[in-house]
Amino acid sequence: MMSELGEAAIERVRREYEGRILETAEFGVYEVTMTVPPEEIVAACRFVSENGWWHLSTITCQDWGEELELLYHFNGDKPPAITVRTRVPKATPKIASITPQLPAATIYEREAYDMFGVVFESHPNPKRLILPDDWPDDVFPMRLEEIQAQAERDQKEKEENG
Amino acid sequence: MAKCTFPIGPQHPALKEPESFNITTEGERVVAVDIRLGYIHRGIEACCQHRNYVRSQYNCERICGICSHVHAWTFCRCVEQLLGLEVPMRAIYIRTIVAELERIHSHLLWLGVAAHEVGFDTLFMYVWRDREVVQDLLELISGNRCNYGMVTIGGAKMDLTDEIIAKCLEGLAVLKERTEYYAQIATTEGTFLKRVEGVGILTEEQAREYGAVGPTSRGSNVPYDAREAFPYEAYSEIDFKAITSDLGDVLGRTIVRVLETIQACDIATELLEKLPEGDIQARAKPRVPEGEAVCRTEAPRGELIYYMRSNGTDKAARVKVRTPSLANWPATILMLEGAYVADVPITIASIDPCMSCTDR
Repeated sequence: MMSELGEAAIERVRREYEGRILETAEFGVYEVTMTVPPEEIVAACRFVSENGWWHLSTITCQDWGEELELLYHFNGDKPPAITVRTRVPKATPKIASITPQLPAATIYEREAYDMFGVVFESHPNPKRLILPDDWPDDVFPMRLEEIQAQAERDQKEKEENG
Repeated sequence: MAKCTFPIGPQHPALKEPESFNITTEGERVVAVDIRLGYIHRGIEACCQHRNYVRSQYNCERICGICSHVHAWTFCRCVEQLLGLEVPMRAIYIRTIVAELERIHSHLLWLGVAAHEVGFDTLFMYVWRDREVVQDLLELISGNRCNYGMVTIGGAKMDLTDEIIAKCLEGLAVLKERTEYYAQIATTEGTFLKRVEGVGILTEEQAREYGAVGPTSRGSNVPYDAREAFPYEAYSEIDFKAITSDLGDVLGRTIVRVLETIQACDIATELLEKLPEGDIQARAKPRVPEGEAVCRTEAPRGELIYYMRSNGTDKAARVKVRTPSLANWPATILMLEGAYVADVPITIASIDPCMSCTDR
């Protein structure tokens, strides 16, 4: 069931956003989402940030196996907040950086690169942020295969120690 | 003049926690700052994918040693949202009261550190003496001075007896009186003002653009407070307004924090007086149905956001934590650029940075 505030926000986004919207939904409390194709992410984020949701809270990245999903969490001064989401293929995880438009994204994009290997094109400072300098270039610790490998190592260690 | 680049940290006498700043100076002025994180990265987000919800909750509580309660609290709110669980009113009040006490303790701790950074050690010692009052209250309530373990999924761990409530009200009255005195010092004491006025300037546009949160942005006149904008738990039943200052410097941030401490005393007092009767725990199932949740909490340092996705098992498929300290770094770099080298420690301290939060 949709709340009144959520419904109004979704209607407004549907009416005023000129690009393609793949999906809209409401979830949790105070939250709506709009899904856009990856090539339109800069336009979508600009639209959202210019329409009341001025604050970029963070960027969440998550691994779905074949694809990586990026969630841009925005909010304004009152509910509902909005999450812009898009997916990029894991084999070629490239997307345009929104940092030139929204400087708040800089640290979140660098974190997503370190942990998931998403390449943000035209990021002004695309250096490592969290992982050490000598970390191998092709290992991204938050990807599912790494999480799985760690679970197996934990299991083995447990068995060895009784 | 020749430019000179030197590192501050990860091991440095002026920093309490390991973090690295590469500072480029021209004479006495800072012209560029490069920041490098991760020296105490513990991989807590990944840990949450390996452990069940109950274990993850205690793990998340240990993200930060100062604002530990808000982490456990936000985690539990996400799980409760996914479970569709109705939390008893008394538990909601208790959780909010502990959060406000934690805010008092965090802000007083910060005021002491800030006083120390500007060489005002008398204030530092006075504030930390009075901070023991709230620490004692938290110990009385939960048994611990930090990492209280007061929240569980679906409720609060421990109840407040009438005796505890009476002691808390007494302690809060003392704290309020003392903090009002510090508010007066912070705004009138000449030696303190000279050191913080016009230092670490962040304009309102910059604060908005660079995504600063909490007292850092409210000190630059951005009236965003997650408690007010997205009222959660007991905050929907209290009337209060976000505290702002239009100064945009270290003094502005100090004023916001001190006034917020007084406000937190009022909120906690009001909640303690209105504390409803009833149960403090709802039964939660170990398996969480598929779904997504986002929760925002106003931690002492600013907006804390959790994203959680469940996949129907007893472990979360993804937990994302964005702590307020991480959000404040881009704005801090902006404050440092153009500042004097001597102002670097107090400017960094003015956002109340927590490296453990930043790295997770």
